[in-house]
Amino acid sequence: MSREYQQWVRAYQDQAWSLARYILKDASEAEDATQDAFIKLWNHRDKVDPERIKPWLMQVTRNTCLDRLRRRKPETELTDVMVVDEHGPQAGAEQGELASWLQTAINRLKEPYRSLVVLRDIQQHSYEEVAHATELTLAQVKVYLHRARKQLREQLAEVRP
Amino acid sequence: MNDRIDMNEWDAQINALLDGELDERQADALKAAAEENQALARAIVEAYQLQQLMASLPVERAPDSLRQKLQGIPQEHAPRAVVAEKSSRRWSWFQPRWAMALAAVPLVIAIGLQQSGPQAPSEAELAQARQDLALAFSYLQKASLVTGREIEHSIGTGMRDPVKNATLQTIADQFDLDEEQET
Repeated sequence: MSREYQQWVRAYQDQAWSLARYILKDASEAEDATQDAFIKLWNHRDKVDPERIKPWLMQVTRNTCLDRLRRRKPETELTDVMVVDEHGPQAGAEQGELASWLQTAINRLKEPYRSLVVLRDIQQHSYEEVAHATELTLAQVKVYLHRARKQLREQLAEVRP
Repeated sequence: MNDRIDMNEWDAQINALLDGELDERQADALKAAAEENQALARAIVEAYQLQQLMASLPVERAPDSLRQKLQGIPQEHAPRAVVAEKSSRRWSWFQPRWAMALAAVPLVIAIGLQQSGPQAPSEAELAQARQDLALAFSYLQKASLVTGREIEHSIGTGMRDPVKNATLQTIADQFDLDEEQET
């Protein structure tokens, strides 16, 4: 079982860490949250369906991060409202700058939009896995992701010629 | 206003297109509409560019410090259970009947000596006592070897031998003492 656990670590540590980084925006806290999630995985390794390890781990990672956000900013971080990015990228930005701007724009999205974009559009998980990880229905995932993409697209349009 | 309503409707179609959820007929209809509608065509291009850009964002590599911590979790977070399990395994051979047998060995010898009084125990009694003691010794030796391995695993060979040898010496001393009593 320990060997299986090590395989899961190798397979999912980067994705869990990346998700935690996007949600918490703090490397030290993201490291702690990722570690907590993997401790839970180790402690529940006999109860989790081996076929569902990835979405289970992403769900636990996300919930661990959200718990930390609640403790940090209980009144502001979890509202289901899109934030308007007041700082658009410069017109004619290069690809690298665009990527950097996009990361910042994603970071400014509120939950669950940010998690949805990270899980689906950056990490390329399936819709079913995203729904499991975010504890939303498939229909909710599609609607919220639609809104998040639209927000990002409108901001991106400002820098495209 | 109508344009905005139309675009909202088209947005759902664009998302479905990007997710590969439009069938051929629906995709053709969207394409035909885009050829007639510049705003729609632009929205499709922007959505596609955004999708490509997001897919190109790298999944950040976890730092080495975190990787090490994650790999160490089985050792860090299950020692109590593992130790308990190992401990239980170490003594699993040591069934209550053996504990009772071991406890009975000195008793048997003592009763034998007492009952025989000044007379020497019979050869059969001595043979039985020796057999019981040898059996007890072999099991204690086995336990001592296992203990030695556990100690080596935990604190290295430097501490293993003194502890193990002391245990064996104590047992051996007891064995010698019993033999002296017999004579």
